Amino acid sequence: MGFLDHSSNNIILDAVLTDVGRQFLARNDGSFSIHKFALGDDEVNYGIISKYGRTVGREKIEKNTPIFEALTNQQHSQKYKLISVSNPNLLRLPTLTLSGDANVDGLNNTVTLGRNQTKTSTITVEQTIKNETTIDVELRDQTFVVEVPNLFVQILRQTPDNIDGQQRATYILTRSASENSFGGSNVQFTISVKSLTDSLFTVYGTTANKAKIKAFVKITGVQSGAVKDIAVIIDKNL
Amino acid sequence: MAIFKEVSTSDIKTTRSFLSQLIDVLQEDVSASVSRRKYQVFVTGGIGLGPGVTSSLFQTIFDQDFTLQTANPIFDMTVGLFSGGATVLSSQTGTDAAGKELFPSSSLMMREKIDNYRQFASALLGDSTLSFSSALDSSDTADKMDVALFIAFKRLFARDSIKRETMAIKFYQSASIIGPNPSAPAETWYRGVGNLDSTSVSGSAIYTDIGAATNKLSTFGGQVGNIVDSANTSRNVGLMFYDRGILVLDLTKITSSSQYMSGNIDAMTSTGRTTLGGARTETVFKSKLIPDFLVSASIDNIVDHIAATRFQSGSQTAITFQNTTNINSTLIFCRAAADEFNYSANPTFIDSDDRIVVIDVGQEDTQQSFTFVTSVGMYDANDNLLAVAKLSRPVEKSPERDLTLRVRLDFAKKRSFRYTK
Repeated sequence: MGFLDHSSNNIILDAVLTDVGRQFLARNDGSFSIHKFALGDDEVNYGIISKYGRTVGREKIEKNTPIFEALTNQQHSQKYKLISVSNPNLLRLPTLTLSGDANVDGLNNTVTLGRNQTKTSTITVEQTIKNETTIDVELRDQTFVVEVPNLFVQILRQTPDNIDGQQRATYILTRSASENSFGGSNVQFTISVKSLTDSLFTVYGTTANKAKIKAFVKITGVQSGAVKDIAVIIDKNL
Repeated sequence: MAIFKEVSTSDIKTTRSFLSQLIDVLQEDVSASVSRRKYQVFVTGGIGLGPGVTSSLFQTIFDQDFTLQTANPIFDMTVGLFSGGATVLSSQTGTDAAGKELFPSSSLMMREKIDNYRQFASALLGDSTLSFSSALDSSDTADKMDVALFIAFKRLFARDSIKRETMAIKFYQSASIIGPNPSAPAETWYRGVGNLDSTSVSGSAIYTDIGAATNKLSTFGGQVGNIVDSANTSRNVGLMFYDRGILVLDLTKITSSSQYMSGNIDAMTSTGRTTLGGARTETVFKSKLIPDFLVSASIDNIVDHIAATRFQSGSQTAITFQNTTNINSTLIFCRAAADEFNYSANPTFIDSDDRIVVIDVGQEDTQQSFTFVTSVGMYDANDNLLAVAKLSRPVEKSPERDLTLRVRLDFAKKRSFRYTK
């Protein structure tokens, strides 16, 4: 996608239906029903505010940020969303941290699986916050949206809410009952490798090692909007 | 409070608007054989070892070589004869027991030409036995279209309808009069040489639907406008059916129909060809455009002649009009109140210490968070992203500013197309 024309002072909205939107329209069963909206700021680099200050930084962002045209792929159209919180004086926002069994590397946000022995891994994603004693109640996630590459993996004992044309399965998972000392919620799920043939590794294997497939799982907290991207590495020989 | 905000029913409105596009069809696209596609579905048997005749029932004019994948079909062209008109009756030898019209073997595709006319009459006038008249509903016998040229614009260009009073067509009334020896007597110019295949060079007229915007006629086939000669607007020469995107022209009126014609045409002979207009050495004129050429030639021959010679072959406009696309839109007003959407999940919004970067250190008691909006996502109840809109530049959102973004979803043929060469 190219950039939108920003040569005039008028703000132009470039709107498109996503592939899922068109799919729902084609169903002709009323499933295309706009219910809510979210605002996004994918292109904005707020680090500019840190570098140039609030006044100049604002102007630089407004005038020097080219905006990409709208994408029809719903997985990539709105990566980062704006958040509404009634407390106007928040200084910190919670983030999602990754932990789990021995296959999970929380530091590098990776999960290593195999197609033979190590086919499953239990993953925990938890809300945490630094230098605060508690997470604002409105930012405590009650639901998590987990998007997985349906060609390679699935979440055990869960049914995907939707599988799009790019074979990305979306699961909507409810938080665990427990919470951490900040009041942050967590979600736990088991990811499992599907039956993978050698030819799949030939096609989807990494450049460096055709015996390994690297795919990505995205977890989004519905209330906080926080996003965690996890790399899933599937080893043909494990 | 969260990342989504519900859209109330009062924030969703539907509207209807109209988009017009200017279409120019170039002379060379109509005249070039590579941009005219034939569908040779009519086949006769041969006489002796003769090959017989094959012909299309209509030809499609493209904007470039039709074998290229990027070629767009502009319109279909064909001719038709009214079954009760003088051209048919003067040639018809009778009718068989089943009601089939009979014609001499020197004629070609007469029943197909009649059927063409009937098909258009059925679709546009509601009765296949009726004849077109220009002007519409004229009871004057002279206004009945005995021989009609049909130009049916493709939906790609006609869209939902053609706009009134925008149609104009530059057409050469005369066939070529250039022979091998221009100094020879005029009467010899027409014979043997083949003005059937020579591009017209003079006698052009512009036929247009001027006045149609204030004289809104309609009939079974929808809205109609009279096509007139721009040099004499009281002279009606055809009909424009706007809703159908079909132009019907009276060939008797738009051509010098009594002009003598000559050239080779397909025929039921041992060679599969014959010469219209007689041998060059003959001194008696034999064949006119109407009825001789229209009766003797196949539809392909007639359309070839009209398309290749009567529109010229330059880069000027041969036909121009404006189409209309009806756009049904849904307007969704996304209202972000002052206290909403002032924080972001963008990874750059917080530093490595989870601290919001848009609030200066030490100014926490006086400064509040702000964000920038670059996109609006429209979601269903299950969080599926159905539509997405992007702003051309970031718009600030802060506790001091509320924001209403009007997202317009158009439900129309969205392909934006401008015909240029």
